[in-house]
Amino acid sequence: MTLEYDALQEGVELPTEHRTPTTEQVVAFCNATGNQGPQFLDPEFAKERMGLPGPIVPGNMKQGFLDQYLRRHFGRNQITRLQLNHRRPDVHNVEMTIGGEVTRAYDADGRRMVDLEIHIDNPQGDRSVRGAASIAFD
Amino acid sequence: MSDDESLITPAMEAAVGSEGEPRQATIDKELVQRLMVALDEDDDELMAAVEAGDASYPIPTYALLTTSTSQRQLSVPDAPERALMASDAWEVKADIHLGDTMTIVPRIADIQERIGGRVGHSLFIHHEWVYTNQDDVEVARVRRTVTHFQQQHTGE
Repeated sequence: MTLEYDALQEGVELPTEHRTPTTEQVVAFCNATGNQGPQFLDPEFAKERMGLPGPIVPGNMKQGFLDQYLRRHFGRNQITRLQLNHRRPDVHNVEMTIGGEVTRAYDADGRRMVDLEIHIDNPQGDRSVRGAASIAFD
Repeated sequence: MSDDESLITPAMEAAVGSEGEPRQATIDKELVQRLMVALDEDDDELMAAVEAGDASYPIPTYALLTTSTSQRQLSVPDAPERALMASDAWEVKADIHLGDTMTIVPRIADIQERIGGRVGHSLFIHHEWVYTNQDDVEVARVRRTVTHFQQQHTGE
């Protein structure tokens, strides 16, 4: 359901949703974007060379999930800013919880704007992505 | 190398501020569709517009990810081989459409050093790309920070 500007004020929490990127999805993502980093695809490289728990979900793929999340809740209103800080790697086939909160609703140059804190948490409750976004309402 | 010794070499310092050659990429329907499948897109209206090749329909910012091979990251001399993305900031200034031809200009914006943290002594290399469409409109500005490190990640 699309959120309306008038219902948004500081502290309003956005609905949470869950995504579990499978290895098949990660491979498809890497093929579509031409990003063949071995840390995303090669278990041995990820573990032995990088010290990671396994092949990880590309940061850009998590950006794609957050982009979808925002469009799901803000419809065709324009996402003018999407900022992600990658704090922890997420590995394939593990559920991620996506959520957010309104940090500011305001007018800027005649446009109604909302700033958001957005995030991705892993199943341990650790924040793997901490981010921010701005939405311009039509 | 001890933690007291800087990882930033003169060659690295010289690279800060340098721009790469502009590259062009077109927002391709097939690649956008493949990306939508990978992301398990469920926006029926969007998928129908892309399937129809509707070049007037604004598509998600993530469509720019299909130009990743043209959004090549400039290599920084002497940077440690191990690297992970630390942050990504997309400032979107105009709509994106199927068939748009983007000119992408890469730049090494800055390099910073950090001691400690999950990857130990590391470098934060800040890259920037400016996307301009065929009408000479700046569509997006992407700033990415990549952490380069010598020791293994702690896995956490």
